[in-house]
Amino acid sequence: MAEKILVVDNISKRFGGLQATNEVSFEVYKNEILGIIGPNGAGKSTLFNLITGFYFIDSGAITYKGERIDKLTPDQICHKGITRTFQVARPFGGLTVFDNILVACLPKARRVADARAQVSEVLKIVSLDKKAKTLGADLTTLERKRLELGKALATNPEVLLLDEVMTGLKPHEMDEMMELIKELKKTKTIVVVEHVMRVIMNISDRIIVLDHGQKIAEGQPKEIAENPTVIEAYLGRGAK
Amino acid sequence: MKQDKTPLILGILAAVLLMVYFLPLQIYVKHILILTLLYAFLGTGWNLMCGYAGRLSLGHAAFVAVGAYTSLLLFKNFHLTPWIGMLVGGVFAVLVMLLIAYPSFRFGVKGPYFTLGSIALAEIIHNLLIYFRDHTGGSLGMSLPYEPTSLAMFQFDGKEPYYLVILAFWLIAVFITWKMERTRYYLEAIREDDDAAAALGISVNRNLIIAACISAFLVAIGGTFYIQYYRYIDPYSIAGFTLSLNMALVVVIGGSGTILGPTIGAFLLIPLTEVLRMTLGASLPGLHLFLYGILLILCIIFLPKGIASLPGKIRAKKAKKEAQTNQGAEGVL
Repeated sequence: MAEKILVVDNISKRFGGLQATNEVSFEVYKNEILGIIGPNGAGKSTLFNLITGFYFIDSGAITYKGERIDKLTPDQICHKGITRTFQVARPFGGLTVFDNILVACLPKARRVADARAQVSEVLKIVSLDKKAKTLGADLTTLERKRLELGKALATNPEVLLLDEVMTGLKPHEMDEMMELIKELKKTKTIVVVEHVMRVIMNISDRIIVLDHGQKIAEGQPKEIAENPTVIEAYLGRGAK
Repeated sequence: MKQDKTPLILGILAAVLLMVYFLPLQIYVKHILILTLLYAFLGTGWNLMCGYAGRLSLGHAAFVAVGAYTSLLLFKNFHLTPWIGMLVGGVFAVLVMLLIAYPSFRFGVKGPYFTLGSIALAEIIHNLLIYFRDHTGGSLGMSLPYEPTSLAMFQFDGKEPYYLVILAFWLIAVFITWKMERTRYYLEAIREDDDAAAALGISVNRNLIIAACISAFLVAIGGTFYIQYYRYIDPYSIAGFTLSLNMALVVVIGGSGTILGPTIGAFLLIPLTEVLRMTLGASLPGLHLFLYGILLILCIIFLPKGIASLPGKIRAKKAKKEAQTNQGAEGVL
């Protein structure tokens, strides 16, 4: 088995009366694609927010390459090598696409000129090279999604957490995005939260399923698709 | 690759302003020029925190006052040269800034709440200055003890040396802003979306605090210049809302979050105010403020991002047009 790169150990998070994450544990292995699925409100995005330090966990531990990261702030975690995208893309609206990517390259670049030199390559990967001068606010939904991914890639992460990058894409655009993610897998470890089953079944090496903040299943895509607990969580009791 | 033309523009601008020094101008014109550069300098300091990082302060006069009163008191009581006094004032201003900036940034206070906090801070300083009247002269203010022209004591009989000093201050402030390229990008990202910036590895608090401290330091130095030039300060004029507001206006009209925006704004607004006041102030009192107000409204409607945004706006329009024609061409194929 490959090296464990990220270990989430028994973490919980409560918001007032809502137990958003309840004793969730899983491991992420190097250069795999781990899919996370679950109905709306299952706690998928919360999980990302906990791993990347936007929320602190109430209990449990998150370990990255043998080092606890659950007390670190988002920027420190990004420096360690974990970058996430946001479910609703968050471009820097007042900056051009070029500057959006430049800003993302900067924290790990020694000089501004070095960062500047990296931008065009990232723009090409996410097919935004023709939009370099457009303002982030003027992009279409699809372009925003691409920019979101571009910004994350620009930080050159080892672990990439993608929060619903497919939402709003047309089928052929999804195919392109899937190819891109599979390509990225060669050099990176990827965790994907996704609603689109066709995508998640196609690209994931393993899948975990969340429901009401708990992990209810884990396994190969094929096992998950046939798992009765999962079917119940999605379709309700009695569905066959 | 886009060439950064800022040093070139800055060099030309500085050279032109230096040449102005040798022109035989009327005293009043010289005064307007000094005032303009002072506001360009204050605006450049304000712009770092409020323009680039978008944490809008309408209480920056507080830091001007801290700078001015510190250097003045040190000079009056200990005969310390204002050149050193202004650095001490700058440090005090930074400390005052940390007092408000650290908790605000730490707990994510922004938008209107931050602005209200900044106004409250200036009010506090204003009232403290009045309260400690034994030391500060209270509402009556304080004047600078006269010394004959002396570079060491930052006092000159003519206006010309002050012009050179403020020209140098302004140049240094703009140069610092230009040199902080990396921080400027970070601040802009933080202004647009601080969570998204943090996710990319940018330390939001650290960068905000750096910007706030440099901003307070620069503005405080402007305070020392103010007292050395006017030789008199009182809490109302130096810690009052008018000064805070003017600092903000100069930047917003010129172009906040741009290197030379504050300078452009100062060179438009300050001479305009003065000329309007001179020509209309006597015959039709109040009319100059009326015209000034109309101009502000027009600027805000048509150029909400300031005059410095004009070239970028034109460029963006061009890019959009190009993109549209490209798309059209692809459609045909």
